[in-house]
Amino acid sequence: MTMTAYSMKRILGESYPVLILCAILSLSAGLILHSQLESIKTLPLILVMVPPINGINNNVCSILGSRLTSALHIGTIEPKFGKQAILRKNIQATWIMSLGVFIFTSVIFFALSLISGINLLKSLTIMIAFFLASMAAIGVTMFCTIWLAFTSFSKGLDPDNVVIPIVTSIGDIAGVTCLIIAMKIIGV
Amino acid sequence: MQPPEYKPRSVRELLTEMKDTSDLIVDLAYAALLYESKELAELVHRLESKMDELMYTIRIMAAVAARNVKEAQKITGILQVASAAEAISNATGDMADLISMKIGIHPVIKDALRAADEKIVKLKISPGSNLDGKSLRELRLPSSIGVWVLAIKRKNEWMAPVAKDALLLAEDELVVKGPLYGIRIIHEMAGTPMEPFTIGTRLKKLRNELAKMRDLSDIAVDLAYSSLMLGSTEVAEEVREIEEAFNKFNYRAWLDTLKIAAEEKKNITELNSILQLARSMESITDAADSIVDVVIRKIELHPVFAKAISESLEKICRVKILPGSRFVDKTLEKLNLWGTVGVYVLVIKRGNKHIITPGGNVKLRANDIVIVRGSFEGIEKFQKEACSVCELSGATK
Repeated sequence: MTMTAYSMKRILGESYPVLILCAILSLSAGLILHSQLESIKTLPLILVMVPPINGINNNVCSILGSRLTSALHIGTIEPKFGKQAILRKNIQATWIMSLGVFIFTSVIFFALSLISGINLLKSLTIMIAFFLASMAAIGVTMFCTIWLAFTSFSKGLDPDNVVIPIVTSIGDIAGVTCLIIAMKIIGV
Repeated sequence: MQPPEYKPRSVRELLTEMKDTSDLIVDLAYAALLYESKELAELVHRLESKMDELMYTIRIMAAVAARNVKEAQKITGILQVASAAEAISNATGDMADLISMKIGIHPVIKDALRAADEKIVKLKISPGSNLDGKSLRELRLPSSIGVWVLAIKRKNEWMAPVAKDALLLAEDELVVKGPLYGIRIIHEMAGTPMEPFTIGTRLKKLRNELAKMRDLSDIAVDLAYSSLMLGSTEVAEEVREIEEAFNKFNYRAWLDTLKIAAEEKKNITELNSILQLARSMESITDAADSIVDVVIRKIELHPVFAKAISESLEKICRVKILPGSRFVDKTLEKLNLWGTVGVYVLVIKRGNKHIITPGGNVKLRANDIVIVRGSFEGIEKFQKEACSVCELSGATK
């Protein structure tokens, strides 16, 4: 009995379905990016933006997911959207955390685009577009994180093996999609 | 044991249920002894195994919930309290064994249980009486006469815990607990004459010791939970004092029983039942002690405690008596709080002094802080009349 908890078969059995789902999600993120090759050619800076937006988004939401599943198991949060002080505090903290980090990265992108010879006004729009895209991506991913945390608790799924991998994959899609939509809006 | 199927239940919910079950099972075990009822003993055993299952589940959920050392430290406190609740249920299981194993119950046990402050009684509902066809929700027994329905027997089967909105029917048998005053009223409502509380005069000293032990062990558990809810080391220290007082009675009860055995040289199995009961009550008091250990250790208490305890059936609350309240300068006997609003006064805190389980001749004074036990509605009523707002109670909901 004790062996099965760490057996190769079990690790693979639990991880494969989730990992395949994650591969499909991340692949679609890549495909979305690829479909916009022409626009990216006109502004290669977009490529530089993908890792930060995805990385930060995924990290922030993984932290949230981890905290939420703990809170659900201990019982300080109940698995329902609605008025709950502790849930609200967690969401607020996540917003504030990502706000700080994304303002910081946005400013760096502003500097980068200035350095690469883009004029002031366009650099400014690029900065704002990146910032809005990142906040939108956080919003979408956060919602999915909360939902996944609730589901993993109700179904008794492993929060580490299920919630976090799926959250990061959804984060990839959300990041790339929001980035491209934002760039379309400003007309890159 | 077969591991139970996964149900999404948080540590907080489980802790509330464990507290409620341990409160209930103690009273049912006493009822089983009082009536030498095999059926009630069986019910106790059923609840005991339910408790094992709850303990198993709470361990699982706690293990999943802990993610860092600090959180894990706090969670060990929760598990310690859960184990204490389980220890209480195990102790009641031992009491029930006396019945199911047909070990004779010494009459002094029944006398002692009858003599304790809180009465436990079995009664039957007559057709057409005031209880027939009424739901517990509309009767509001705990907040009006301090009586709780612990178990219902219908179609030859005892059911406990009783749902909050359970319907009472004629021919149902009930196990209820409450103050003598309320017990009288519930008999009138059920349309059955009350069996007189005749307490035998045999072995008066031993009887009083056992009665006192039962009261003290009940109060130790209640206070232990309130210390946890209030995060109060003061109340925790009181539990320690109660435990010491209990131990003295326990020691005397053992000596007295052994003396009787030496003198009479007969009824040894019955006398043994006294020792068994004393041992079970001691385990209950020890469980209270291990609950307050969590408070005294001064590891930050997990916020889940206050929430779990405030959501349990019988609530504990700290209420300040403000000047101008109708309670001021009245004796507890005259106020009859237990029989009229259903709150039992556990402790009165007056300045730096604590009066633990005050007697009927104690007067309430303005600015007294009173720790009471009762139903949600009863405590709400009490607060209103004390002109006070409850600190950290179930009344926050």
